[in-house]
Amino acid sequence: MQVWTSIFFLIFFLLLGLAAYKSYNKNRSSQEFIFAGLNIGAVLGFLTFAAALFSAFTFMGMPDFFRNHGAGAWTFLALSDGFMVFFMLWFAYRLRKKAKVLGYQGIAGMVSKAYGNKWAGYLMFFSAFVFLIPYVSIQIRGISIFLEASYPGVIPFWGWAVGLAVIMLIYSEIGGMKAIIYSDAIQALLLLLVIWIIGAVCLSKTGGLSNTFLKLADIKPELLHTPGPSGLFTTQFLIASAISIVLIPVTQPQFTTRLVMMKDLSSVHKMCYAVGFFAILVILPTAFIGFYGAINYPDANTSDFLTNALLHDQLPFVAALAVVGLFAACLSTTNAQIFALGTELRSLINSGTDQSKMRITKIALAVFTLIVLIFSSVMSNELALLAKVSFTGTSMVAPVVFGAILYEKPSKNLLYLSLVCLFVFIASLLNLIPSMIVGWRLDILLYVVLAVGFVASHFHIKNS
Amino acid sequence: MVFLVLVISVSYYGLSINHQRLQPEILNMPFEFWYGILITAILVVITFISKFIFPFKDE
Repeated sequence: MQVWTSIFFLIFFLLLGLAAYKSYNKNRSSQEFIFAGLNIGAVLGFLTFAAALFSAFTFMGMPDFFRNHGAGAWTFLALSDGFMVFFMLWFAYRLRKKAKVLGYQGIAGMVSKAYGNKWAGYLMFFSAFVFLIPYVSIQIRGISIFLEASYPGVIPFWGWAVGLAVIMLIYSEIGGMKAIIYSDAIQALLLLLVIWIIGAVCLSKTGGLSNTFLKLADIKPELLHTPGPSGLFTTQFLIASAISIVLIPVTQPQFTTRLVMMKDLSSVHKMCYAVGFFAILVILPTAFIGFYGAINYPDANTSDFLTNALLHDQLPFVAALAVVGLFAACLSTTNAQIFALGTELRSLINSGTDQSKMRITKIALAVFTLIVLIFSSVMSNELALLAKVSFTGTSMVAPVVFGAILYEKPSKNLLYLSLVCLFVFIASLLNLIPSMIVGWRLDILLYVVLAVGFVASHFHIKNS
Repeated sequence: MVFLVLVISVSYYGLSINHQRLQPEILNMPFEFWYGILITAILVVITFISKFIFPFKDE
């Protein structure tokens, strides 16, 4: 298996190097470095969006979610993605329209301009920083622990983490957004190929689709319906998850940037349904892997289950592909997120030359990578649930973005509303306030408050 | 289309899940699983159709 892994890694790194080399241009502007010339077509746009969206969380978190919580995991992620791509048709149009009026350097900068208030931009950056850094860190930690378990005694987990971060930093600093887009395209296709091979193998080992469900019904019938064996997938949980996932392109800067930098609205719309189709294709095999785990490794911990299902139970070349595919999946999502944080920081800088802004962006990328590495050594291992926390946390500032794209003069009350809800949510994560209030999840209640506040603000603007 | 998606979401979350319902099955697949896949596919098809009837263009 190690020979296969070395061969696949070599091919992968050669392709990454080629992407960085092709994208490098000594005299490029910071706009070119960060937005790839704002001329991305439907196919590359779809692949880069899909690679940023489907990450190590999909590859490792979703099989484990299906294994532990059953069929409802489909509703949790895939169905929510279906709603998200439909919503993106409209959102992308409004965002791009406003971006043309105000100019787009990053969502934080655009929001600052729309509200005429630099604190609006700081709020956007703060929410992205607070919730993306732990999300990136947990992915790097997850893949590093997996790789350490796959090759015991070869490289420690922190060695894999540093390696991943250094590779990510080198090719994004050399090639900028264009290199990231090319590498995303490679990684998205690799992810799809690998996950289907492993999913198909797992499905055949459990005796095919029909037998898999018969076995699950025998072993643990609670896996076949919501809320699942531990009662996680309540209707409230699934609705809150759907709302937070639908709002991902609104508040997570790596996605808003991708929507703006595509060449025209038609390309964006093609990308929307392509991502929806890709979501079905990618998540379905994770269900097969998860159900295989529920039948064969019901009591194993996450790391043992994944190491067995993805590596030890596969043919050597498939296992090697899985290692490289996981590495690629983690790389594409983490570099998209860290690059987006750098872009957001740059969009808040109003003074200085283009070259100095680009220098600051590059330094910021290195600093964010270092912070992520430090975080990854102290995080917990709850990949899927931390992903949901990240989606929910950033979604608290969605009214700020909606205000910015919908109104010429948005109400500053939206800033206060989002700020309060964001801190209430953070307080609940720190156990300072309960996460359930009289039988209702706090995130659902916060969404109701945000929605009512937004409608009130709408009528206030209309009447004034 | 927006109305259709709203109806789908209300009926799905309100009526179709969390009733511990397994029937009807398809290839032994429990109701919630295949129905979830079907609804997701319908949403993608709606998105595809909506691309052609979307009333606004890039300005």
